[in-house]
Amino acid sequence: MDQGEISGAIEQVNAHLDALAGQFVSRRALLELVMLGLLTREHVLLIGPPGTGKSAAVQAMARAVDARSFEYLIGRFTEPGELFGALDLAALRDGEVRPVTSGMLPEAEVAFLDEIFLGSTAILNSLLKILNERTYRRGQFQTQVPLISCIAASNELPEDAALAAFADRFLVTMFVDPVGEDQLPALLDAGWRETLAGNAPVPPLDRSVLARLQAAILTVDVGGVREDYAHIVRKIRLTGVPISDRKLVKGLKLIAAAALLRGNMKAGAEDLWPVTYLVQSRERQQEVRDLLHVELEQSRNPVLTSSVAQATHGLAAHAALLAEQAAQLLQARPALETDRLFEHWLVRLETMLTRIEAAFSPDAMPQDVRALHTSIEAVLAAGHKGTGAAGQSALGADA
Amino acid sequence: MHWRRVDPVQAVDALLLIGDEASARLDAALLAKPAFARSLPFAVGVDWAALFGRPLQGEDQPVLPRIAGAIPLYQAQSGWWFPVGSALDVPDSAQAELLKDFARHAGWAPPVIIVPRFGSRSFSCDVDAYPVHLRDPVSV
Repeated sequence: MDQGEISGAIEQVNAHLDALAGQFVSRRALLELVMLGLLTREHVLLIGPPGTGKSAAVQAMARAVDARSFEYLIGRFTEPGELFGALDLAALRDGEVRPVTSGMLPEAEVAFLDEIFLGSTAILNSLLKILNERTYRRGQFQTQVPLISCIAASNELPEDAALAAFADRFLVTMFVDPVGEDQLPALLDAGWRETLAGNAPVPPLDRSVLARLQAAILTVDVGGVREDYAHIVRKIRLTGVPISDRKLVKGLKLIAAAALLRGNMKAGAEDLWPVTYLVQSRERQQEVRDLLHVELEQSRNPVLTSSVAQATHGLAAHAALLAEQAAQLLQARPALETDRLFEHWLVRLETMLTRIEAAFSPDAMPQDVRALHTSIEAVLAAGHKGTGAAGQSALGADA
Repeated sequence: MHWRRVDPVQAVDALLLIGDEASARLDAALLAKPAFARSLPFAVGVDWAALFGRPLQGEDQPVLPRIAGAIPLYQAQSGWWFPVGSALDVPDSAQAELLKDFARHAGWAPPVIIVPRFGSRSFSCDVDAYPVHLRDPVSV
């Protein structure tokens, strides 16, 4: 596959995530993981309290992908036919049991199932087959399901062992928390903007882009990280955190996807971070992040920035994020130095320096961040000439 | 209440200068900055001064100038600023209620800047508090 085509597809995915993330506050990581599920053809489980924007973000993502989607809020009394299609009465008259699957889950490419664990045994059994084998069966009727990824949501993980085994079919698990206190003003602004004008729809990502990347992921060389990955999994299992063999193997696809989106056809130490999302317990995910502090130190991804930061919580991921933002900011220099935008650009650059210096002392600054820090200092030294207000008090008489 | 050191990955949205001539140092630093920096909200006390970030028009992220020697702060809860790299050692869900009790006990009302005294330790229950409206640092 042509490297240029892959790079173009990655750029489109990144731009797409930017556009979608701009409509939500603090939900970039969720959107990234749903995208990761779509690219690896794996299923994603979102756990979090009601009202945290899980459904809205997933629905926006489903609308923004050129694929047949199916959404349903499952309740205790939901009948299988509501998901898989009612029986075809004409066929039944001929003694044939066949559901009308048009527009229903068996024909969906992207499925969003809210409150999934409230489903009856009949629903969950059918779902299990769909998730595992991409096959729907009812009596003698059987059909192949074109499902790319199922995104499910629930307020909490089930304690029942049978349901927990079902939950294990979701390769990626994300715990979604309410927006942090510091993000509340942004949340209110975004909510009010949406109330007044609604969010502009994000043009759907072409299915050829998804297909290109899905195929490319399978060609990524993961041989170089196999030992490191096995070491990490051994370390996790030693602490009593269960990761099934099935998940362990499928986790390689996430690593391959991370490498691809980093622009590399060979997975490296930077791409091991998805392992934390294989763990299906909020506390255990936190433990694993702490446990793998050293192993995941090199984690970075220019597209999946927020999910890396959430997976590692480490300075390395933060450094990568700062480096990415600083590089973009330096490139966004306004053409005219007399323009007011130029002054705003200088202010943003100075904020970036403040953020970098808050995170890293001069002797602990990563090399790429240090280089960007130096470039920003040089730009500011040239740009700030004459912008001061000598002779006056900036704080006024109050100070 | 315990504070602990954490990775300094929080978004900076305020700066604190402590010590003699803090407000004069802030004043001098801002004089050399673009006009926008000089329009940011600030608070001063006897031996401290704080500058609070504000987004540029039409943007979400607050901007702040770079000021040598300033302690970068982040807003951990509404009206509560901690130094970047420190956190209250309780679950997130309990923080708001605990801080409310903490303020009630000390007789303050937010906004308050809290600076834990870690020294060489990773944990601390000793802090300096700067109730922004009082302008004076209070040792707790």
